[in-house]
Amino acid sequence: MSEESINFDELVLEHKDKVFNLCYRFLGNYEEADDCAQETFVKVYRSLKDFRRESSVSTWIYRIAVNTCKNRVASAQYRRSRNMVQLDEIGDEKLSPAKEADRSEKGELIQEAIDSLPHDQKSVVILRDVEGLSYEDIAAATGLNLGTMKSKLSRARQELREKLKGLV
Amino acid sequence: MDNKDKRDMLPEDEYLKQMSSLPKVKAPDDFLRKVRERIERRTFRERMVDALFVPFRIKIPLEVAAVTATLLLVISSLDVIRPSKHLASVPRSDVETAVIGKTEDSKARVFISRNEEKAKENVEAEKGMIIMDNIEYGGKAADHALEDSKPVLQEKSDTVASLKIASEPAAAPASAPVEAGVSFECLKAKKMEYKETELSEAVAPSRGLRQADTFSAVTGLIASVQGTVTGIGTDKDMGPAQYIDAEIPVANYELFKKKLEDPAISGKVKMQPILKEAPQDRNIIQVRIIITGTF
Repeated sequence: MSEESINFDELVLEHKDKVFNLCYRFLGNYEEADDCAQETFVKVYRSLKDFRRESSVSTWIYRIAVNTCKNRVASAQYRRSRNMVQLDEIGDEKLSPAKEADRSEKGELIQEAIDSLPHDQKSVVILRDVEGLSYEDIAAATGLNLGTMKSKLSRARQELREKLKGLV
Repeated sequence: MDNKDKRDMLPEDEYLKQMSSLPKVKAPDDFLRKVRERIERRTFRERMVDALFVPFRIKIPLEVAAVTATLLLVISSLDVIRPSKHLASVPRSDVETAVIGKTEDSKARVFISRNEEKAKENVEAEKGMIIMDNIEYGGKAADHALEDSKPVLQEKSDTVASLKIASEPAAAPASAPVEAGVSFECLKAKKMEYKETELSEAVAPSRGLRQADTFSAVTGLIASVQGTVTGIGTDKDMGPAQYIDAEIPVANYELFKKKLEDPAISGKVKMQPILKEAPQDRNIIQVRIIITGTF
């Protein structure tokens, strides 16, 4: 195994949970999040040799993940799958990790509120309030300038607080 | 934001607490293996596309690229506007098509080579004849003329076609008006062009403006004995006539020979009959007058 592949494996192991969580919060679906996170790392693998270290590796990976999620949401295939009943989950006695995650009703409500946000606000609020990234990293990961990012974050928080009032 | 609005919202600290308490969804245990499989599972099409669009790693200065592109553009433009280069590659033996006459219903097409065309041009230039490649004429006379001048293609080689008149009308007087489209003299000129390869090589004619005078004198002589100029041999590059083919009525042949012995002409021309071309059933003698000097 080459040095590059060892580094890539380490990179995946180090960032897979964060990326997966970001994808899940962005898409609100475990299967989609799994697929999207895998695609993110495939893209990372392909462009690893072109990475110029202008930002940290984690910020770079987050940026790829956010863009991959946005593309997925925009795709027709994703919109169709959102409208379909997932029959394969019916009768599944063993709880999947997705169901484990959604078991909390409170968590479900918060996720629904996040889902209702516009894409830009959604990505900003997830990166800041769920993942805990710094403002600079969020700006770098989303490609927004700092002021715009803070403005979007403020609007996103306001909306979420309005939607979650009395529910949680 | 006033207090009423604030009352309608979740308190900020509560909001942040709720958001941070969201359960962290972890990737499945076989996530790395799936990613590896996915990387290896790239389709043939994807690999082809990647191979085709490999970035060009060599750095070329912009100036060099611009100069190269400009040079290529100029060279390609010159190629387009200089067709002679392409024409030069066309074999000389290629034949061209010319229409020498047509009726209302039919057309007679003959193939003439470049040499034949050159001979035709000389006829035009020297005799003032108007020879048209494509002349319409109608009526029975025209049909008859067309019938008389039926061209027969006779292969000389693989690519060169020679022209021969199957049957010819009686010798037309030189002074007779040129029938449009029939171009009898023209056709004969084309035919005789092929004799150049057999005879003219032995001739070393003088060239220059004075040769035109010799030519005029000889053609005048032929006309005076009611003969007909049937062809003019020319050098491919120099142009002026070197020999004249003519048909002389048998009755006037002796007279013609005597006139050629005139001191003014004698020594400048050399006559020889074209025996193999002389039709036996006609009262003419075909001759070739080679211009060997000037006046």
